[in-house]
Amino acid sequence: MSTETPLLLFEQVSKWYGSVLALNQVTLELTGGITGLVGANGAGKSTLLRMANGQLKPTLGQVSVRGTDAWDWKARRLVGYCPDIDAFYEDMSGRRFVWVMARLCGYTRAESKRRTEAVLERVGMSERADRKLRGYSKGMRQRIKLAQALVHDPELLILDEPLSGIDPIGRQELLELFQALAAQGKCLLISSHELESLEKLTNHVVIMARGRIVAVGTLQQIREMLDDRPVSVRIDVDRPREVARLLLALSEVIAVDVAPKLADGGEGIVVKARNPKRFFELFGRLVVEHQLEVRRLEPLDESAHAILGYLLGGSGKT
Amino acid sequence: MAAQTDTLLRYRPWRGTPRGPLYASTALARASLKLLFRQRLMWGLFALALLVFFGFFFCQYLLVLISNLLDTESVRFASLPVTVRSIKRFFAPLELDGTAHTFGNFIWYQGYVLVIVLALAGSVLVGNDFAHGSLPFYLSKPIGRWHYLLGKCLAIGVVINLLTTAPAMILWVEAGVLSDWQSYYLDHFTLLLGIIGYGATLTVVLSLLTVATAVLVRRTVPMAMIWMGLFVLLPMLSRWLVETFKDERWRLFDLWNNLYLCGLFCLNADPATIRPQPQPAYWEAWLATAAVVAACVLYLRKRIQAVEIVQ
Amino acid sequence: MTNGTHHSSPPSAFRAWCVLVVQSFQRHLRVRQMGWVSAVLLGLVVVWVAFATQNGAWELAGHRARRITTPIKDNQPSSAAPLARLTNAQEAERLRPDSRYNALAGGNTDRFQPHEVPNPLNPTEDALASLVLSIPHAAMRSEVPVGTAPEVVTKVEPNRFLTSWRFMSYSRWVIFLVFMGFVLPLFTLSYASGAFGTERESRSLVWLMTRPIPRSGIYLAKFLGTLPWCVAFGLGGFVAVCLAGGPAGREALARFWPAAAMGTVAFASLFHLVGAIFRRPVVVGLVYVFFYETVVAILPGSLKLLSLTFYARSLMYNEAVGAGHPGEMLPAMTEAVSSATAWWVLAAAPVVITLFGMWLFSRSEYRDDI
Repeated sequence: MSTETPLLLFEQVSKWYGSVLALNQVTLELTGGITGLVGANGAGKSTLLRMANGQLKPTLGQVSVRGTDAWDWKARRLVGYCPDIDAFYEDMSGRRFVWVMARLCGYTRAESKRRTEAVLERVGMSERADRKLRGYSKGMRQRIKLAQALVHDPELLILDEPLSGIDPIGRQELLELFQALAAQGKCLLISSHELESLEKLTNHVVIMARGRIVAVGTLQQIREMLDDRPVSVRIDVDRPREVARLLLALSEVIAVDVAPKLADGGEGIVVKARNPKRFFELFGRLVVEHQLEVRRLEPLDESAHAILGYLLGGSGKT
Repeated sequence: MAAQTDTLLRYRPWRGTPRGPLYASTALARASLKLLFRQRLMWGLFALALLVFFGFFFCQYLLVLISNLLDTESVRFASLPVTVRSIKRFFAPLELDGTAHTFGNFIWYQGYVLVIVLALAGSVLVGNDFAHGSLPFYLSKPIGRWHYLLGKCLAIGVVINLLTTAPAMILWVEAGVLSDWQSYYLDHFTLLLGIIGYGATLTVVLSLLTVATAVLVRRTVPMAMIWMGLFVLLPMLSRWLVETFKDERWRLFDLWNNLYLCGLFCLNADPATIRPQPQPAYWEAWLATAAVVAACVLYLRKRIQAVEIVQ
Repeated sequence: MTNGTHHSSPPSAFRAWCVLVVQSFQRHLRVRQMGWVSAVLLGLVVVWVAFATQNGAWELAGHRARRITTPIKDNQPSSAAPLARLTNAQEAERLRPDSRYNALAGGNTDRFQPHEVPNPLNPTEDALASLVLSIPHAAMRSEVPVGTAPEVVTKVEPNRFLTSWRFMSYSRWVIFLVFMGFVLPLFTLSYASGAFGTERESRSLVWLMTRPIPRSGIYLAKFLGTLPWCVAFGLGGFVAVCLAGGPAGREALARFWPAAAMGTVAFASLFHLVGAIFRRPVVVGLVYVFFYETVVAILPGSLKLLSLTFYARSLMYNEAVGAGHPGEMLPAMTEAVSSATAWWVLAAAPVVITLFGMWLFSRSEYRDDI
């Protein structure tokens, strides 16, 4: 296994769908371990993942897997992909489907058989894989999708929403499986729109918003980065001047603009604060103490908005 | 307390009463039409249909234009002299004289495009609902299955009429303008009603047939195969059977011909003037058409009663 | 998969490609509905052709006379209708001197045109008229005893003229119209465009696209996997239709099968490409087959050089003319290209189209979700 070239490398990648910009100047480098990819719906996660396994071509920039262009078929030997779509050859049984997928990777019959059994065992489907796929539950379908991604033993696993539709017990099983795979030295790129489920699995996350990567690193690093970088928050309240005075008393607040020019022409105050997490805690306390009627609370910075949404819990919308 | 919550949330519950499920059908039809017109292919087919329409439109004009010339005079086409008589003879089969056959022929020729449009419409509107599982989405609304089918039929009906009845009516207007319009519109008003009658027959029969075949096969490819069987193979077959057995009733196999006969009945054309001769009697064509409708309705009824329609 | 103890043979892209060929062949087998519809349609055509052959539909004798005879006296409308539908055999029988004189003797000349009524008072003119009017009969029955019923005629080995006529009539109606106009395009379209069409409709193409096989290889494998189906129903349909067609059909099979085979492959490659490009390939294909091909076939000029069936038909036409059959019985074939050209075009078309498709497919993105 060569270590000089990164396993997955995005270099200044942009992607347009007609006039829609789906990915904007994305640069990303993966070398190993589990990476979580989080972002709201439509943030560009699936586009990024599809580029990583050569389903889509970047409009600008380059995607490579161990130095091979991801669009090249040879790169697909190194990549296992579990798509988010839920369509199979419905008339096949799960076992047959995985076997055919193994055959299509170029293995002999016997080898495909062996790999199929091993991988079905691994995803916990070996007893249930003889029914036709069309009768499978959502969770079983997810496991079969996972099985076909693992069947050729790839170095890089790209999993698009692998946990959606799986019950808590199954989820735990799969998380353990992911960890075992990572322990074996595989690199996993797992997308999800909830950070919570990934938090148990990995510390390394990539946060996407509106086609951009807004933060990469461990959760701790991202939090620190946020602390260093002040955010602007718009607050609409009844008594702006009084609230401004209260806010300025907080140590986290750098500045307050009581008559800002807002895009929608509304009235409110814009607060510039550092350490947003701490700021929001204190502000919450203020609201309760002084019984403030807050009509609106919104970070003005788009990427901060997204990161905060994830770090503070919730779906990415404050 | 309730008032306070009201102002807080700025939410007013809707206080109207929902209209009946029939309105849901029209909404369904509207949605289906939008779905259909989003297909670029659909516009291509419409362009093709327009080609047929403009062919009729301008040939009708051309014939009036040259009717003032003598038969032996010649007109230059791409620097080739063509006598007026041969032009007239060339267009004679279309009968572009504003009579019943003008409109009958127009709809007959438009049928070629219509068949393809309907195959597309069937697979987009009904087949997709089955294939992509969007049917439960419709059926979870407070409407019955018949309302669902009605909505789809309405949408297909609109497409049928856009391709046949509407342009035929424009041809009727044109025919009047090209001759003495007052007397034409008065004398031939029944023709307009006939066109509408023809269109109505087409709408009922073909929309039901489209929905029924789409429910039966669901996928585009077998659907197109069945349509081609119905509209290409059966006409060939029936034409030959008529020749062989010297019995014009074999023509009843040809659904498009039956619809043509029904349409000419609406247009009040003389049965002896219909080409190709011999043709079955009007009532036989009506009976065959009604049988097709009945078969479609019975089939749909069976499928609807079985819960199977969902899966 | 992960234990290193088991030493396994390395994956081979060629093996994967071969599996894909087999797999895409089997996909069509899974769509039973299509198989059933195809079998029913083909069965219908074959039964029809067999039935028509039994009834002597391709025989000159059984055909309707070209000239529509109208009775002189319009006062008997009941006799008008059947008279208009005489077959060639009946028409020839009617014009024989025997029957004309018998009719004159019986005073029943309703069924004759003025110039057909015998005129014994002017022997020269009458002899000439009799001679001319008996030609059809002579042509039709030269080797058959006079008075044999038309049903029997079809069973007796007819003369060269009649065989030729039968063969060309069969070629025109069954091969050119039914086979080239319906069977071949419909089945090649259904199966070839379905190769990608069904995968895209069921959104399962992603499973193939994520396999380590070159994209152009996927295109080619899909085509090769589909080709047996196209050949089975296209060329198989041709063979079935020919075998159902009696002696004329057997001759057509012997003479036309190369053209039919080339046409099948060419069409299949074209529709496979259509399936890879368009989201709704069947509709595009139908427009191509039933508008472009038919309109172009009747248009004069050089546009028909862009129609695939034109070359297949040229090949058949040249073959028929080469065997001494009257080529003018095949409609709109006066501008047929030479056999050599047709061969070259039909052989090159699938290769060029498939290479183009492979190139295009290896450059295109396929997204199932929209």
